[in-house]
Amino acid sequence: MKTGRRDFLVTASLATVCMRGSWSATLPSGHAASGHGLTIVFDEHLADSHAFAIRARAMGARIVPLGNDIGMLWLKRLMPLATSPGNTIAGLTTHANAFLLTRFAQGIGLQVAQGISETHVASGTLVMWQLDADGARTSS
Amino acid sequence: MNGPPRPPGVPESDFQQALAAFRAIAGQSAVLSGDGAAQPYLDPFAPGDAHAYEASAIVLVSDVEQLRAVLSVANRYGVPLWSVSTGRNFAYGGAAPRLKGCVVLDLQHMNRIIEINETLGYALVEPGVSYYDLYQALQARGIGLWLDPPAAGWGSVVGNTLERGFGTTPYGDHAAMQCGMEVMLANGEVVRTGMGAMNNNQDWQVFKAGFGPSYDAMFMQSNFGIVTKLGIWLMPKPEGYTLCTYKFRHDADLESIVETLRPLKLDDTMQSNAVIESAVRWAAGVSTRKQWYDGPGAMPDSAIETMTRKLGIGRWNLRFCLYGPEALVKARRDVIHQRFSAIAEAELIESPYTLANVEPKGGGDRSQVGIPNLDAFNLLNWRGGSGAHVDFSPVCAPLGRDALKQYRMIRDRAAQHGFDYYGGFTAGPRSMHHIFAAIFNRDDPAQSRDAGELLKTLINDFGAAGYGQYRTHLAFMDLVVSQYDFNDHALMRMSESIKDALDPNGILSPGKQGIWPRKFKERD
Repeated sequence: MKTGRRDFLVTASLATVCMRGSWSATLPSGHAASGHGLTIVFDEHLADSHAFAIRARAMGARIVPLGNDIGMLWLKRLMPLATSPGNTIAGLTTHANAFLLTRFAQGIGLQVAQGISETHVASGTLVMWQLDADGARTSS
Repeated sequence: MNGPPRPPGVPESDFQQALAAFRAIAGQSAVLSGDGAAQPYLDPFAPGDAHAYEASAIVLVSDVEQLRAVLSVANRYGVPLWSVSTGRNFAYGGAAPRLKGCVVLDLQHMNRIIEINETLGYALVEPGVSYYDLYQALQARGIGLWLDPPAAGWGSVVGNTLERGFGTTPYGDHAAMQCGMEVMLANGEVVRTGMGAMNNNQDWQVFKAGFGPSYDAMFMQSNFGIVTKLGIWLMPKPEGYTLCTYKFRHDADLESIVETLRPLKLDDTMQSNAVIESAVRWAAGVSTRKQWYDGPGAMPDSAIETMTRKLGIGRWNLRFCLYGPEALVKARRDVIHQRFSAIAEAELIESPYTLANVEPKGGGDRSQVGIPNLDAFNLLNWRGGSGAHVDFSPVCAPLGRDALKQYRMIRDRAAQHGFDYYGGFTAGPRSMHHIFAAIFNRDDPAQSRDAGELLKTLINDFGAAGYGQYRTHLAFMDLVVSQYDFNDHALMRMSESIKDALDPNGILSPGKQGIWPRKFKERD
């Protein structure tokens, strides 16, 4: 993929998150560090996903790589965030990883927005998704 | 009627009173009803219209007392319940009920790990405990036991065991590793099986039978009661392990692979369940279909051949793991290698002997050393779009001729419907689970419908050939059970007699595995 197309994708995806979420693109620096704000999950093996995360980090978001165990990622890092009001978790990932994380989120009663923007890259389709931490039903 | 469905035959006023009673029992937030409430409980992989299996409402209970009270209300108003442990039975229906309008009884909040016994190697858990939960507990307490995760590690230990799920360690036959149950019957009575029937006995999780008839298997894949506690045996952590994969070059090698494998499994030279994976199944874990083929219909053989060469995989790939002290692992490895070397161009890839506390990275490898993971879901990326799959799951004797026949039957029929053969066999000593996943884009109604049609055709094909299913999607339960027809369906008559005796109001999971309570059969 050419850099220009990737930039377009990243910008569009970020704009989508910013428009939908409680998080704002004009977030003051340090907001994420206070424990509230936007967390971007990215797939370190996918250039577009990684680029999206880097751009988000520059705008004040916390970024988290998927690593090699998405289940443990959810249980150890994302679920604690997801059950704390005011947090938004989003990502640009493969469909499979989007499915897993949104299902985990639905399991604790989170609102899920998915498929907001999709992009087709050489290896397949990436899905933009977003979890809104407000109103989690349970922390089981 | 617009809005969510209603339980069949239940007047609206009774249904509303039942929901109010459920709220009084479990709490306001533990009852979900109204528009959209059941949406998370729809089957995301439905081969057709997911709303055909839509729940009317959800109730989440937290303990046995709440459960008893909910059953009492359901009996009073005739409200059918569909119990789920955590609701992740994906490819077979997820959390959705067989009967549209059931109230899903979600047990995920009953999630206590009641006991882990390191000395005797077992755990006693409630339905809401996932494999990840149990794994974390074992890790946190530094206990030298391994669990056996199924392909999807987020599922419930109880739920998967009751569905007779399987994994890839020596403890891979989950139903066989179950020991002792606590079950709530439809009338609210709590029964403990085996030695659990004896007050103050300590052997509930070590001796299955007890005294007299043994009933545990009766509560697997059934609707005779709700299992509230289940004992599961855990594998002592070995000193070390070696992960092995054979790559076989030729499609026709399958027969020789199975013939070579069977004696090694029967005499326990190969300890773990062994997994024979097709090229597409392996490739779907590390790539997408369009990287290899983007044309119409199933992938042609030439594309599969190119794919296998470029990925460095076999047309068939055999995974297994050897456990124990290094000298024993090496001895087993040498015997196995001597046997498989007889297959032309068979190539063994093996990890160095590794101490048990060192974790491998890949999902399939992690499963073989007791670590739950979710890598199997990579198959959702294979076909593009919103990937989904529905599984076809015949039982296969570990005979080369049967394996080859089943494979060719599925491959050819799948190709007629435009699907690739994404399949494989998980081999125990005396049987194999042959699992084929029809992968489709659920946003494409035609593909979704085709997947359903393919499954139905395959079940009929296999039934005619004398092969039965071990598990199936909600949509095919009646069809599959109709093939278990010895003595004019005597087994089903017995199941229905048990059902009507234990659950006269037919409130527990009507239609589960094709077992319908009298009141729904009479209505039909």
